[in-house]
Amino acid sequence: MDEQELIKAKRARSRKFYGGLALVVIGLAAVATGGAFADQSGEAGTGAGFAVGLGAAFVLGGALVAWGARPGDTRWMLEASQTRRDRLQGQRARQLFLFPAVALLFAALAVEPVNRIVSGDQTFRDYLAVLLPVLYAWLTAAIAMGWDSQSRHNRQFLEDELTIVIRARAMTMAFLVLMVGTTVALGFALARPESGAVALMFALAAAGVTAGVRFAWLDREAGQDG
Amino acid sequence: MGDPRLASRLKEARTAAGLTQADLAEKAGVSRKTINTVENGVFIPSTILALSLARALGARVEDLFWLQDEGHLADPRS
Repeated sequence: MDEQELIKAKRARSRKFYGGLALVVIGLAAVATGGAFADQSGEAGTGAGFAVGLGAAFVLGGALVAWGARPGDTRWMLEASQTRRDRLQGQRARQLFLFPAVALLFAALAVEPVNRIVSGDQTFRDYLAVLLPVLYAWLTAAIAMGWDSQSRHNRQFLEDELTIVIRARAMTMAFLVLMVGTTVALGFALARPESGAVALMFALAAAGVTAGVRFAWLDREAGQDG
Repeated sequence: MGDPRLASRLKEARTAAGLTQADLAEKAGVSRKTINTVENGVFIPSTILALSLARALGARVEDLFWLQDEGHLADPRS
């Protein structure tokens, strides 16, 4: 690393550290606020629970980020670029196996909420439940496409010719799954309108899952000696 | 991704130079997996990558990659 890159990297780590601390503070505030309304019932109680859950996630995530970028930790300066490349690519592969699993889990949990929304018997929590599998499907696809923050900031380590080819193959398969899935969802919607929304949600989740898993699988195969 | 028409002696050239896949990847500015897939014939390098690999090994591109005609091995070593 030359002097300029070192200064740039130090500033980025400093921003990351203070960003992590800010997340912890926001998370603690959300937990405290949610806790103050914990004895409420109905929508207020649901909102309080959501605030506590989200706040806890912010505290944990912020603490991890701040710990990873803590001042005084100089190991990152000594990390060889190939080691860093391997570490970042391994991290990406793990995310591309984990997030699809989470997306499918949330999709399965969202079936009843979707049915309640379709029947007009929904609550605010039902909309959140439906949002989660969609978000994770999009997140998985974004990581596979290299649109996420980690990929954009570490492009020189995460992008090369092989990555572009792997991405193309993964997204081709994901597109096929999306076409098949939405066609099936259309059929469901015409035959049984009440199940069309559920089918569409699964089609969306399946496409995102396919992009992630196929990318991670091809990446893993590329690392094996033939 | 691969193509049976392309023959390669990248692995031989790399080992003759005393480099690991990671070493060559570092010199060429790509991942070790890219080197691995090129050596296994699973991935065809672009012109730029082929030139980078040749430069990293101090060799000509034609010494590393050539077209393998059916029924005739156009091996520059022969």
